[in-house]
Amino acid sequence: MKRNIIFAALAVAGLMLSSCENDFNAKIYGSLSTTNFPSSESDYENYMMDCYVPYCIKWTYTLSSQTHNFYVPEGSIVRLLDGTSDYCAPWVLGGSWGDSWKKLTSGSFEDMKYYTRAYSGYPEDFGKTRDVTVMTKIIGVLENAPESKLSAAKKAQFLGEARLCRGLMMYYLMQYFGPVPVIVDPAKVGDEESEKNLTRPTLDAYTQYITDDFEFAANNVPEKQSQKGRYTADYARFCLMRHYLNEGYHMNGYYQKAADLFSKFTGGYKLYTDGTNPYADQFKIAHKFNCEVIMAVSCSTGATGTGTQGNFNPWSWYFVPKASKVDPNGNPTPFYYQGGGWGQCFNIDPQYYKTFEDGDLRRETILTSYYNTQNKLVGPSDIGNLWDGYIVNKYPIETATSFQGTDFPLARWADVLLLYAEALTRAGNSVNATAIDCVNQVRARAGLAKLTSDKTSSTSNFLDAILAERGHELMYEGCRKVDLIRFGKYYTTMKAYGRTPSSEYFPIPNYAIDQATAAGSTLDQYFYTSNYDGPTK
Amino acid sequence: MLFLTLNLMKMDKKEFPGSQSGPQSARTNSTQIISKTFLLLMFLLSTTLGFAQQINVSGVVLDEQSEPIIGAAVKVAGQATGTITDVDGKYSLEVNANATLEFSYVGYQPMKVAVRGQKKINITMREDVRTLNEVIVTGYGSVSKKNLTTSIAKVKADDVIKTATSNMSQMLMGRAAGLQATMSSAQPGGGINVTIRGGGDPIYVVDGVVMPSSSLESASGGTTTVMPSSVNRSGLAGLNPDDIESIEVLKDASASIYGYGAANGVVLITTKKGKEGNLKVTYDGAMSYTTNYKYLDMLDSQDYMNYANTFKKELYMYKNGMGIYGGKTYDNGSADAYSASEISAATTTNWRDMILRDGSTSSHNITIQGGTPKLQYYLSGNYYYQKGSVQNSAMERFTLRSNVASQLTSFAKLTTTLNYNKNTNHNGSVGGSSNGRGSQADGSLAAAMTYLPTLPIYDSTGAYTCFLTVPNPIGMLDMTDKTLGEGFNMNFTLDIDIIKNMLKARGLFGYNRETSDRYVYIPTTTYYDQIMGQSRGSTQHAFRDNSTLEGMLMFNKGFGELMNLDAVIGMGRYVNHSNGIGVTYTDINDIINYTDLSAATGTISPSSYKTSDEKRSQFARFSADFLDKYVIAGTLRRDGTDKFFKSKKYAWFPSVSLAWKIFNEDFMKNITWVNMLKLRASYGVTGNDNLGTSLYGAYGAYNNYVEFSNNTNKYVPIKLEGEDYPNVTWEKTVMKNIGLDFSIFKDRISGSFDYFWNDITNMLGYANSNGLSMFATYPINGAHLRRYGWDASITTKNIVSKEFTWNSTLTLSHYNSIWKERMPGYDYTEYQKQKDEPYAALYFYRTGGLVNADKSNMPSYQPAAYQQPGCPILKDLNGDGKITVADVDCVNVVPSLYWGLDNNFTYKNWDLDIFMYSQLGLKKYNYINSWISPSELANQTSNESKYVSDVFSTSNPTGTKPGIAYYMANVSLPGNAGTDVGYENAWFIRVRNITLGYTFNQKNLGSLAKYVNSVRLYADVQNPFLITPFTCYDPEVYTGGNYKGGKAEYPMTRSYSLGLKFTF
Repeated sequence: MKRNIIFAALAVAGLMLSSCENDFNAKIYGSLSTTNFPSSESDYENYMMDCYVPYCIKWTYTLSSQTHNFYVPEGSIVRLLDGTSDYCAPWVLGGSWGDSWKKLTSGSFEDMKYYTRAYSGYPEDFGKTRDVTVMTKIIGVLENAPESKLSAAKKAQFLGEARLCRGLMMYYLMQYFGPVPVIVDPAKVGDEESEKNLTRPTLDAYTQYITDDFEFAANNVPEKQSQKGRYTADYARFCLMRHYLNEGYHMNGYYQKAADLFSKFTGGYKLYTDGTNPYADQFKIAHKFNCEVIMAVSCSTGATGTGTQGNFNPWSWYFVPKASKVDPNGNPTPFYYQGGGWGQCFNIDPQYYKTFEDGDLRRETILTSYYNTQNKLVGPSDIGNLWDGYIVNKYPIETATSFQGTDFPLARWADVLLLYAEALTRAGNSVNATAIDCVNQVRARAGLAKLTSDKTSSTSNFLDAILAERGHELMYEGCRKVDLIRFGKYYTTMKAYGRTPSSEYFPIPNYAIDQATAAGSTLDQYFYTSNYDGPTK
Repeated sequence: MLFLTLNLMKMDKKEFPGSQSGPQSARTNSTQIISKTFLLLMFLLSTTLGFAQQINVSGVVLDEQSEPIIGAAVKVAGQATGTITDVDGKYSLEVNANATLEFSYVGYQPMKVAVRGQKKINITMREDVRTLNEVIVTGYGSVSKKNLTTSIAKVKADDVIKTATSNMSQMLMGRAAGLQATMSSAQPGGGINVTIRGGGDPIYVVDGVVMPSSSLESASGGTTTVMPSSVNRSGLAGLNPDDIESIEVLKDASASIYGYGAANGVVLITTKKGKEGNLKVTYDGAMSYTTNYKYLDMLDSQDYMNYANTFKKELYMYKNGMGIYGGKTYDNGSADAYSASEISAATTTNWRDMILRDGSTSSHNITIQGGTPKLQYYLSGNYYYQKGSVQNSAMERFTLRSNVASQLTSFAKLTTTLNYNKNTNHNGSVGGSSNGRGSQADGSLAAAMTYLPTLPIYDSTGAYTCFLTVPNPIGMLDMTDKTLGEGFNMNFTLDIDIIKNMLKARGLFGYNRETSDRYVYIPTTTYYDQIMGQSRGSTQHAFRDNSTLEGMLMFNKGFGELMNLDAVIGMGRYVNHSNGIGVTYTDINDIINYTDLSAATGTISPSSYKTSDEKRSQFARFSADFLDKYVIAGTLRRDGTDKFFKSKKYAWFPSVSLAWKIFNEDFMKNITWVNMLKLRASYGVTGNDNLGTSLYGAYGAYNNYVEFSNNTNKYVPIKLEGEDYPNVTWEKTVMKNIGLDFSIFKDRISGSFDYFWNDITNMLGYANSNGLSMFATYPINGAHLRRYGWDASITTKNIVSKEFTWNSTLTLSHYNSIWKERMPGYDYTEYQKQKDEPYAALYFYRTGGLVNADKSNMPSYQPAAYQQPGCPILKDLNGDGKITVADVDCVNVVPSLYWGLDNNFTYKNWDLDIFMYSQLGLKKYNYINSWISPSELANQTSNESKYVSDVFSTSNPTGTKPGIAYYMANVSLPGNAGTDVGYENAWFIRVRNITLGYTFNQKNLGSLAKYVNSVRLYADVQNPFLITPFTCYDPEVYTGGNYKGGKAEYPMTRSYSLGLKFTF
């Protein structure tokens, strides 16, 4: 009996010893340890590629938390900077789509205060301030990469690309909210105090962060990239030019710097002028990366928005109403390959439609009637009853695929010409011939005569003409609200279209205000520029 | 010698009560014990001295009604000799004159009788229904009910009608006080939400081995197929409900012995085992016919077209301020969507009825049970087939189970359990869309409800018709979605007696592995997710296994009258693995489909994963019974997990519980109507280590590729997925419970009542990071949640007579959960309660009625955007004459009471069982409100339900549902809180089963009696009716959905069954 006890005790003790503390760590598969990554040029490149993710076209991405990509309809610059501008009539007939669509298109931004930090489909972008920290961390890792693992040339290139992406992130956030708290110094990443600090930086300081990134990129990103859609120095220059112009009203010498950039472009761009309507043709699949394109998001027809596929272009689903593929005679409509869209979230306000001069080729990209699913013609007289505005057909449906392969334009030479004209005018505070010529080049391509003399008779008249031209030329390219604010005309223009913007920039969500308060900093919910033409809160 | 005496005394107490008559037996006084022990001791001594003399003993074994018991085992104590009673209950045996005979029969208390030279021994066996000695399985042991110190609810499987029951969790609905089982899907094998006292998923321990609680399911193909998941099935899919002996629910500190993961309580499942006795073969089979409960009726073509015209005009008038919406005169604008001739000529396609159908179930079960003293065996085979009540929905299952116990040597016993199952599920789709898709990727039932009734199935060319981007519901039936599941489970337990009846060692090894293979295929002919003419598919394989290795020492010893000690110490190691691999593909020949993926010419995307985790534990348990009056029990467990960092891996989980057997006190001696009265209290700690993600920082491939040049240059970005979080450790739940067990009037009324108070502290979860940190959230031990409530069960024997009996069991439970502390940095909304907020809080503005056509009933404080006729009138709860966040009401949506009531009647050979359960006092959103949208009708984007007739409009000013103005208002009320529009009272009382049976036993089987032991015929109706104020739908099945494209649930069903049970 005693022997049995001893055996049992031994057995138990053995089991106990064998199953204790040894070799008892988490087993994690499918990932790389923080101790041995990155360790090669391709590691660094793949790590840097995180910075491009927000600028791909997928439904959503998660760097810090889940949010929309910048060029996808549900949360893009088009929704937030075109949909909130003069040419988009409020989408009232949205049916079950929910009120955020109607409100943003009406200029009513107050509900954005209620957006929560957990992803729920809203275009909640304040959370992207954390993405800036993620990019700063990557920039820090790249800066500290030893030469043995990453050559100086590649390091400069990757750093340039990463900083261009970070600059763009800060740029877009500024267009949404005004200056927002960010961490741009890699040494501050992980620092409790810095990460807690949600106070807005001064306008000048924040402007400088963006300038620094764009200038670094313009000097370090390659002039040419063999991969279409990968960022180039010229794209950095374009971003910089736009930024200089936006902030010239409070930064010394920015207008001149914007004007000086014009001659620095190395890509030999010119306006696309082939075909009967070159304006419309330039956006088609056949003419990707034509002579006018400085940068675009390169999309293909096979992609559907999934992360593991490439960039897709879903815009037609948001531009086209419930339309028929064929007319009553059985002939194909412009929507033949797709049929009706999900909802006509974005449109052209009929009142804005009237601002186009007769013969403007750009107006041909707007459709003023369609056959509905009962194959009945819906036209201008049905506005307000069956539809809210006309159809944007600038990115036409060309293929019988779920989504289109059309590229999304980021920077075009026409834009540069108009920016240059504006920069010259603002820098010299006068109208000069070069500026007029730039505008007229753009008008000529649209089939229009030169500006009449009344439009160039004064600086303010000329600036008005440039603003009108930008609206027609760049509609639904994601910059209208920025332009209207830069020209100090956002509130007045929207009022003229029967909409009252509830504020100049979007309010920062309540959650962030509360968090800032809890952390001992003050985060102003609203930001207004000094030359805003509307009432402030 | 002293030791032997003590040991025998214990034996005496444990094994003799059956021979006593009346409930006083447990209160046998010490004199009796000693004298009997002495006698026995003398007798045993005489045996060992060996005055051997063989005699023939015979007799008859009867039950309390003096009916013979057939097949009762009669054996000689300590020997292998034995026999079985015949059809008249008679037995005959050659035994030693000094031997002791042991009589046993399932459901009866075993008895021992000393022969002492008698040649005729007649026995009356008592049915083993006495509350006192009912054995309750606890973790690592069992205890008689009178000595139970904790709150454990027991469900005896044989008491539960299992007709048309596909899963073990369906047996729990309304059966155990304190356990809330709610159906979350009515699909075959559908999911049941099981919570113990309002906690999360409990752990399931089958014969000592912790099993995964969720079902293993492979994905449906992600963004390639965009197939809705369509799957909501219960775990333990391989366990045949008929193989279950009992289910014990550990509700309080009793769970502490399972330390890790037991924070939400433990469900212990004990399966059927072999029993000594003749081979017993049982066949139990049933066929069921299933019909759907009433489902939402959609509009027919005429109604649809008329309503479309009505609301198109209504929308026009609203937008232009005409009629009741502003006073302008209607200018005859807005042409009708459908002309009178179109309406009169229209035919209706009833899409919904083409997706719903009648179902059926057939189940066949064979068990073989028997054994000798050396070997006991239980074998069962089951075939179950259920044709679902939705097209393309079905489940088929085979299970085989064997449970063999063998006495290898005099001191070693090996118990082996093997279980194999093969399940084939056809996943019929109902509602819900995946990957953020809307109605273009609906389930077939949601599509059928959305699709216009005016459209035929096929167009003139024979192709499926199209309606906007909604898939053709009938076309969807050509899609394949099936899951093949296989499971294999084995369990070895080796018991070694070190000191017989006092100390034994046990080693246990359990291994469970499951696979799930899912095939999803969309043929070229189906228009789905806006794609026509492209085939897409997904083949996914998932695997998981878990193994348990435990060793323990078990001690059991009585110390005279003073104390009886029962103790266990042990340790264990638990390892889980999972991995999976899958391929999605496009463009393949429809006939080849998933059988040869190399034929796919489109995009082929592979994926895989692998995980593993491990836990190590040491544990100890003891219980001591002093003077048969006071019981103290304690457990201590030390658990380690690989999830946490080095210094945080291990945690202690102690528990202590006490019971005071009041009925054994001297002052209770004369109160004879009390058979048992016991007060108990427990305190214990359980833990949880499962955060769901890693706490170790790592870089990983980011499945959000960056591509250039028309997506021909691909980069797979590498992303920092997390940092190291070395401070995170165990979440702990402190459980406190006070309970009372009683049995009175000769056990006619018995039951228990418990009050509990659980604090979940150091809750594992995520808190919001500092505003600018790289990760939006970080893992932390933060919040504190409190759950409290009570549960009770009462069993009564209302009528006990020779021919007629009526027994009832009532279970009641109530719980509430409140936040004592939220995670640091939690974002409160303006109107949210910050102190003691209910866990299931729902906030809304109350409404009462609609603004009428002339606005005469509209209060002055009504918010501007809701000032149109047909908008709901808000209630100014605080009466300050304006609507502010102070008017937001907080409603706790936990049911105020769960109850279940089982009534069982027998009359001669007839038996009738009626079981019902209920949830009272709760509100739910009714999604019929998502199917009455006037704006969808105005735009002709969806069919709607017949409840549209309740919608307010110019022509229906008495409508009770909000009109077009409400849909178009799109206003945010202060604080962005919603309204109670669409919420309804959702209490219900469900009659779950009515079962009528008739048993032919040896007496009335006639000539069949030679071949068959007994035959039972039964008829059963499952879910015969439901009482509820909830409109149209069954409120038990989840009805919260108001998501884009979803809005349809698997219908609740009613089953009519006929069953037959043979015992050979």
